[in-house]
Amino acid sequence: MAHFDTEYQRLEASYSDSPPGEENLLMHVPEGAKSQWHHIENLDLWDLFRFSLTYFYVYNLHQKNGFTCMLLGEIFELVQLVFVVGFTVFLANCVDYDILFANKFVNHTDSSKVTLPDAFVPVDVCSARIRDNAFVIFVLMISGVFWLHRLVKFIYNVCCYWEIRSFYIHALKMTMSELPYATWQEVQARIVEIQKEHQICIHKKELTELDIYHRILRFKNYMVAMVNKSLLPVRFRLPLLGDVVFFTRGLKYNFELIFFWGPGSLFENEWSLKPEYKRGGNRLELADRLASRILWIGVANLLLCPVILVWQILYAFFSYTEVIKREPGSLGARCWSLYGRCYLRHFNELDHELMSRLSKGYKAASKYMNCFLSPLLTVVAKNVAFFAGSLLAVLIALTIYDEDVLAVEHVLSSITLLGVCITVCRSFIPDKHMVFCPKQLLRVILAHIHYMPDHWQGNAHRYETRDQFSQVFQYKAVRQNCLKLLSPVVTPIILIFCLRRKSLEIIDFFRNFTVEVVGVGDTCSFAQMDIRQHGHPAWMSEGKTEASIYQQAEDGKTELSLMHFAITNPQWQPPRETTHFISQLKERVQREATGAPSDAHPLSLSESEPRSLIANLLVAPSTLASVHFGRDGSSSGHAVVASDAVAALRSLSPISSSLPLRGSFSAAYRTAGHASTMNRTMAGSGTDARTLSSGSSAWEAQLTSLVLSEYASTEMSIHALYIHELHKQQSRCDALSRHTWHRQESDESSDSIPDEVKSVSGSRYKHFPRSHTFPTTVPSPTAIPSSASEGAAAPETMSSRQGDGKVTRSARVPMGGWAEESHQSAPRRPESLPEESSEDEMPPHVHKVALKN
Amino acid sequence: MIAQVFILSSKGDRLVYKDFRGDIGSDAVGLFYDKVTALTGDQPPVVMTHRNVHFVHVWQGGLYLVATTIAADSSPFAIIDFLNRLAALIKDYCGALSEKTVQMNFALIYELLDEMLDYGYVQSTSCDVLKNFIQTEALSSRPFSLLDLANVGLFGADTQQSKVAPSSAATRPLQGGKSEIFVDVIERMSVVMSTSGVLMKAEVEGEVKVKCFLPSCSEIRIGLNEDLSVGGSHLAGYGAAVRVDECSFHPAVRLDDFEAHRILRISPGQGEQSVMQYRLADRLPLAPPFRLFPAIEKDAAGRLLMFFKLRCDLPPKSSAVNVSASIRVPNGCISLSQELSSPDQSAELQPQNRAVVWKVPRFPGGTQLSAVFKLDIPALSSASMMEVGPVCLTFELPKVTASGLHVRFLRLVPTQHRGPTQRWVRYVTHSDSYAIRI
Repeated sequence: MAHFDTEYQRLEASYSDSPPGEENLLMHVPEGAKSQWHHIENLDLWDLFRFSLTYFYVYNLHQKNGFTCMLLGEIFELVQLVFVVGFTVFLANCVDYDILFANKFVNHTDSSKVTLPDAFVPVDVCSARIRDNAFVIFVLMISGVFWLHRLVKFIYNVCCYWEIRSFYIHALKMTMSELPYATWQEVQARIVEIQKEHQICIHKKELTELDIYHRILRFKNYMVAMVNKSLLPVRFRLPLLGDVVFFTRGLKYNFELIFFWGPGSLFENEWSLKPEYKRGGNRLELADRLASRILWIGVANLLLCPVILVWQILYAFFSYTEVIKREPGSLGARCWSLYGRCYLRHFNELDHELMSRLSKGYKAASKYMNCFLSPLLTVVAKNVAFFAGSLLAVLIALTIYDEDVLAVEHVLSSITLLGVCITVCRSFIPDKHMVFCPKQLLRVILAHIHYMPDHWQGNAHRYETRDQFSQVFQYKAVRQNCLKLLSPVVTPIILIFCLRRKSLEIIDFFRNFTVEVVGVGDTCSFAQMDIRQHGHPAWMSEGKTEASIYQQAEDGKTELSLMHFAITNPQWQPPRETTHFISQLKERVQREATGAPSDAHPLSLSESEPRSLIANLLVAPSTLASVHFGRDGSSSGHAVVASDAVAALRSLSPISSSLPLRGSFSAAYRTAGHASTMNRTMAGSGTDARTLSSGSSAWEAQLTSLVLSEYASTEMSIHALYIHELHKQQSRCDALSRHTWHRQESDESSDSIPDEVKSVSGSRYKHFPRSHTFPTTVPSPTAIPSSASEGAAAPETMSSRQGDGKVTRSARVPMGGWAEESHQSAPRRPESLPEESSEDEMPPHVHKVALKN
Repeated sequence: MIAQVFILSSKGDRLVYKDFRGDIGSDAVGLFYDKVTALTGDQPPVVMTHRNVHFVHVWQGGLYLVATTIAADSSPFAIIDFLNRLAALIKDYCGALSEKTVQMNFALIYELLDEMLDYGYVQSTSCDVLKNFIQTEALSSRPFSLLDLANVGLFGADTQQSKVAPSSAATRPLQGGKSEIFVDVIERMSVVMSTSGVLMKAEVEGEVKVKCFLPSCSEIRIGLNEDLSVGGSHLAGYGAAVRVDECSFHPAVRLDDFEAHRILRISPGQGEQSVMQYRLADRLPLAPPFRLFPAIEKDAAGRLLMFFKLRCDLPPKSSAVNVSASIRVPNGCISLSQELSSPDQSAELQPQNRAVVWKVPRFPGGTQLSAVFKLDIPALSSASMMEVGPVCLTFELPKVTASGLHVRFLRLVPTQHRGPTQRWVRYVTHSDSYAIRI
């Protein structure tokens, strides 16, 4: 062979490289051959492993704002651990409390003051005391081991992050200093770019956003799916307390330990399920094995319970006493519970996306919860506050008069206690200016959290709803800490008695809902967001879904996740079925919206109150009467979405008086979806969608990605509302009780009803906007019963309204860039279809990617 | 039967000499070298005779591998084949065939010859058989380099290093080392093109070679392009199919799956084997990689002016390396002045070959280079203008196959042997003769 300069390229072990006849063997349900095959190819898989980790670390490093922040944070965590243990031991053994409480006198020669060092036991005595105490030694040893484990992990992490740092700097060309200011979307776009150039993932030519998400969120998607299918035992019906959700960090940790990464877990490594779990043959045996492992882990938990309990108490004490002292109001503060986060999370939603979404809903949610203050409690609280307040006032007044009062025993402590007491009481006293409007609030909440059980709708004012909502949105300090403290005790019980019984279901779940994606590894099939596979007929995907009841994701999770993902990642090219679904949804909304301006009258609504207009939109679809309310609500600042949009717009347009900006400004109102505003836009500047978008192009340069994401979230809110609304109508139309309906008939093809709804909505719509465009006349007694009570006629009108809200959104101007993109991409997609068509014919579990090199 | 085997360097040094029968004196070595050097021209005849001694030699890797015989009835082709086989074995055992490796491993080569030939009769040339008898370890001249260490990444985000291996990775001794398989797809291109760019002759000869470093391997499967068609049977269709006109396989290749899935199954021994050879004539799927736009004129000072534009028609992502264009010029050139479009190119006049050699180390696809050569020729006539041309190009196209043939996958049927097996593939198209007429 002559000498050539050409280099050898590694021949990758792609899953797609097997000959056609062996596909089943190698891709779908791997038989015995595969494990060996894996073994030999483990070098390639090592790459896969590395990169599945890499993305996780890349994301983490981004979320932690760069290397230095991450390093500092981790170091402080380690120091904190040492401090907590050391300080506790010190307090327990080395402090002479008698001196501190002045029960015993120290005889100083020079002064009579007691100093802090006086209270310390001498070092030798102290160490002797520690040495003698076997329990302390034991605790110290355990924490020492734990700390060492953390240290090793820390060093390992630092190594990883150092690599990732160089990945950021060299490959992604981002310095650490600019990292905190770059959005994840930007980072992701760069990764996709890089992949095109350098093929960092060797199994695929091009990485899609979905692949990256899959890799980062592999296990979280499983958790979300398991919560969605109510597989995990987290809801309990207790005799006294009723429905209780128990899902703590410790429990979650245990779940993850059992399923994902613990010794003998279902996953053999970061990216793939053990092959035996992919076969149905010995499921019973595997279930037995899983059950026994759960039992062992439960027993281990039980044994470690005292240690964990002590740790939890100490940690809670150190971290919360200071907070409670500083702002006692935080006792009454709420936050989204862990269960809530699992329940509300979309498939393929990153942490920061979820958090920003939930944070936006926080205000409304806490308002909603505050609506339900019990009057009895309020009366009691008012009086307690009065008495405590008067005592406090007297004490403070005395102190001001002569501060020797403070020296009296327990005066300082009683002042503190009274202060805490008053603050706690105050949290039970409703705001004087508050308006009781649960329905609207719930709608605004829904706009942000996107998920809600069906029976909440229309029952917003009920205590049951409130109680259930409090499961996802609970008191931070009290409830969550109680749970935390209970957790070590309850977790083993749950593991041993509840989870163990479900082991067979779990085995089945992992077998049925795991797909192997080339270049990604095993992922949860729900996270593919395939409407056909996992769509729910009651959530807009009837006719498209082929899923059995077992396969359907509840609560429209597939559909909403899909919309969410498509909206947050506009560059993502979904497969054909999915594209069809998205475009159909958009088209539907568009159609309903285009009807609006033609019929609507130019309106003389006061321009000065944009908020109320947008609030109307949000509020109107639910009940007509609420239009009236909506104004109140908005004036008291409830319409969070609206205010978001408006705020974003305002921040954008300091010179909103100039003409093109004006056009887009009003178009942004269209975004929020008010038909009348839209009309004004049309009449005033004579614009149609095209000119609007051209006007917007002048803007685009100014739009920061932050604002774009703001709009994306608004868009998603409106989509979520729309889907929920449609779902509500449909479930009302089809059958009164959706549950019996869909649980019993597994595959009905009731296309007729929704089609009818659609067509009727188109025709009926024309009659409706008149009342809609005159909001002042809306709460007419004739309109209300027809919409609220009857399921048949009103829902269409609702959908149409909801629809134009949504439509305007897609045509709105600040999004012009996106709108244009979507117009362009619409014709683009069909071109790409022929390539993908072969994939569609394949069994959906097999994802094949042609290997080009 | 073979009387002697010896290996000479290009300078005539005797590297290896073994006499099997003792009926020819050791002066045959000098005799042979005299005969070879006495001949003019590039290639001396393979078989030469001096008195009743027949010399058969092959010229490989800058070395003469020579066998002598006096028996008139021995088949020259058998001896040629034996010598080629010897060269291949030396390559397999020592990594490469060059003066240096032969010098370093002469003990091993003697041992090989001992086992291969007995009293001048060939016993075995199979690598697998011989490896049972060969004890000597090959010495490798690979210098220690830091680059090897760079491959050891902890979590290395850039896998570029682990994704490619230098071309020299395959030239190492068989024993020891990592278990690796190297697949070479090497195509030789012969093209004759007219001035206007019309292809007058185009032919590609390709070869798939496997170099296997696995100690034991029961079977490997090589998947070629699924749309590969052999002969003219599938000429219809969309033209995207990869086509070869004819192909032949190593006798050990099992072709059970070839018709259906284009999979070659082979149980390779250690060492290098040519698994498949194929040929493709006339209709190349790609446009010819280079086109030349010449313009030749005589300037006022009586010098010969040659303008050349050379365009590389490869896809933009690939590029040609080591491109060298040899332009035949008229007799009597004295000097050359040149203008080249970039500094890394070079051109020189080789009066003895009557050629101007224009060298381009790297030539990206889709680009165009231009050059102006001014030749001082004292007796320049219009007739001598006709002597210019043709232009012969030599080049190497990494990661390109002219036929489009690709290795889809390479799989090993597992044996007891466990552990990571690295599989490498290399695609090269190089020029056999690429002539452009002017």
